[in-house]
Amino acid sequence: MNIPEELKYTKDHEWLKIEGDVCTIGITDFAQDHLTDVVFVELPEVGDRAEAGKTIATVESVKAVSDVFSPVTGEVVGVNEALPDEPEKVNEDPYGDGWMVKIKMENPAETEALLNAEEYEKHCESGD
Amino acid sequence: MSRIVIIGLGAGGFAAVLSARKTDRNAEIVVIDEKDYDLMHPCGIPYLIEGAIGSVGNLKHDLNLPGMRVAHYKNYRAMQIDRANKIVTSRNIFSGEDQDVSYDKLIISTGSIPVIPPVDGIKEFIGKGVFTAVDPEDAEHIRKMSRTAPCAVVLGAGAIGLEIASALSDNGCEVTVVEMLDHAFPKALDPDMAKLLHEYLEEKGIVLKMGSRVEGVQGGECLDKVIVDGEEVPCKFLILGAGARPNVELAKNAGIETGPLGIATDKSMLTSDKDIYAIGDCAQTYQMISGEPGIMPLSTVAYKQGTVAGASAAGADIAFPGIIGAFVSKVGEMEVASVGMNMEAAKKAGYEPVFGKIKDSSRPDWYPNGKEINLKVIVDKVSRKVLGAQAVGFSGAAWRINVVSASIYSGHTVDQLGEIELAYCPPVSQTYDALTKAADLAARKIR
Repeated sequence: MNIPEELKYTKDHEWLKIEGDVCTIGITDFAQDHLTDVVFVELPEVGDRAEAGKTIATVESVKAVSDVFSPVTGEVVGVNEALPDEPEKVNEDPYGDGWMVKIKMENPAETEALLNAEEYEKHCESGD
Repeated sequence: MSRIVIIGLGAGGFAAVLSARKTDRNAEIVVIDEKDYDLMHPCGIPYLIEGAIGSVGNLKHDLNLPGMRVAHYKNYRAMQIDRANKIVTSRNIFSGEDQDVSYDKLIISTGSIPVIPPVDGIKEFIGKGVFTAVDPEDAEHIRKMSRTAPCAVVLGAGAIGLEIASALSDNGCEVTVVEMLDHAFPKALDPDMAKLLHEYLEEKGIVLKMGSRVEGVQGGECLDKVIVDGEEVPCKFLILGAGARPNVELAKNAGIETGPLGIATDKSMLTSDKDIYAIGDCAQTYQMISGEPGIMPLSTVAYKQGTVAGASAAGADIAFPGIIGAFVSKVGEMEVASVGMNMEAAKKAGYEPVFGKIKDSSRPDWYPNGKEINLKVIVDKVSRKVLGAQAVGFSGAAWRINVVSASIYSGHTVDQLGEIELAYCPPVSQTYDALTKAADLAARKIR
């Protein structure tokens, strides 16, 4: 299982890449593996408001419909336009081409409570 | 009593004979054809090369023409049509003797001519390593060569080219496929679907050179190598599968109107002359979805058009509904099928296409040995109408495409396609089948 060192994670299996006050969000390798083949991704629109803990996107595989929760509050400043036509990128490259949303954070301190790679790995192993 | 003359006995000409006879028991029916047997099945050639079909004799088929009271000018080539006097002058290809055949209604089914690419020296090697793969005798020869000669090049990554490439590879030959455009089945598949086929062929050990041309051929008595993108590729034989052009000369010389794609015809397959029909690979007809001029060199289309022309010539009033282009090819174990427009064609025709795509298994995941099947359904964002579909996989590509073909024929929206009830049984299909999934995914994008 791939858990890049430099990213932050949530217990709901989202990852965050923080660059200044903007963070990029996607789902982890663990999550995509459990979902199996992703066939549909529903994304917000640029300008939408994101609220920490609320749904920001939906990921569907043939057998499941899963919410992606925003780990932070702020404004959606970018969405991965390639995903509606190529949802398989979420499986193929979850931390790269499979990214979902970019959010301009109102309160970057929100990210301090998130898991680091080591903590996230433990969380996955614990099976919670 | 009406006299119906049919030039060319292929799938279309044969259908015209049957249909004319069914429509009018008394019509005089005459066939003019060059072959020294009745019917040939060119689509079987790759499978003859592969060995699935025992011998060349299986691809040649004699019909009971005398039993149907059909006069047959065998080994005759139609040389000229005198429309004023309604006479076809035909020549015996062996004796050179000319014969005038008069008609009341004429059906032109002259087919197509394989394209020989403009490569220096290529013509000198025809029959000595270069083959067009339309002659069953050639196919027999190719089969033998493929088991002894180590390397071959196939020009053209369409159905005939890839089916033959796969057969040669199975026979132990090193095969390189050269295609001018950037992916296999360029008119039928989108690049993402063609990629699945590319991967399969490469796994089989076939070398693919896409966006490439054969620039030269070299050899002594026989072919030795071809030049592709400036590089030498060892090659004991070269198969030309680079398409065919409609054989319109006879009609054109008689002053019958031709369009950019072939002999111009209307919905009854009538040409600009009200007593002359044209059918099959030589006939320009129209696309069912867009109504635009079209041509589809498939035996299924020729057969339908022959049925229409034969019946019309015998006095019935029926129409050809237009072409949708339903097709399937089996390349090795992989089935490739499509119908209607691909994304590029849909954009060109002015639609706003969106697609639903799924990689799935032919069977439920709890039933063993399900086969991979990839489905892509293309729909118009504005009207929600189904425009086309592509299936690539190892089981059930054709039946799924046939459902979409019926759906397009019926003018369905993507929602209606998704509503169609499909047959289910675990060893055969899934409760929620790949086809329905792909349709639903396309619908989701435009909700």
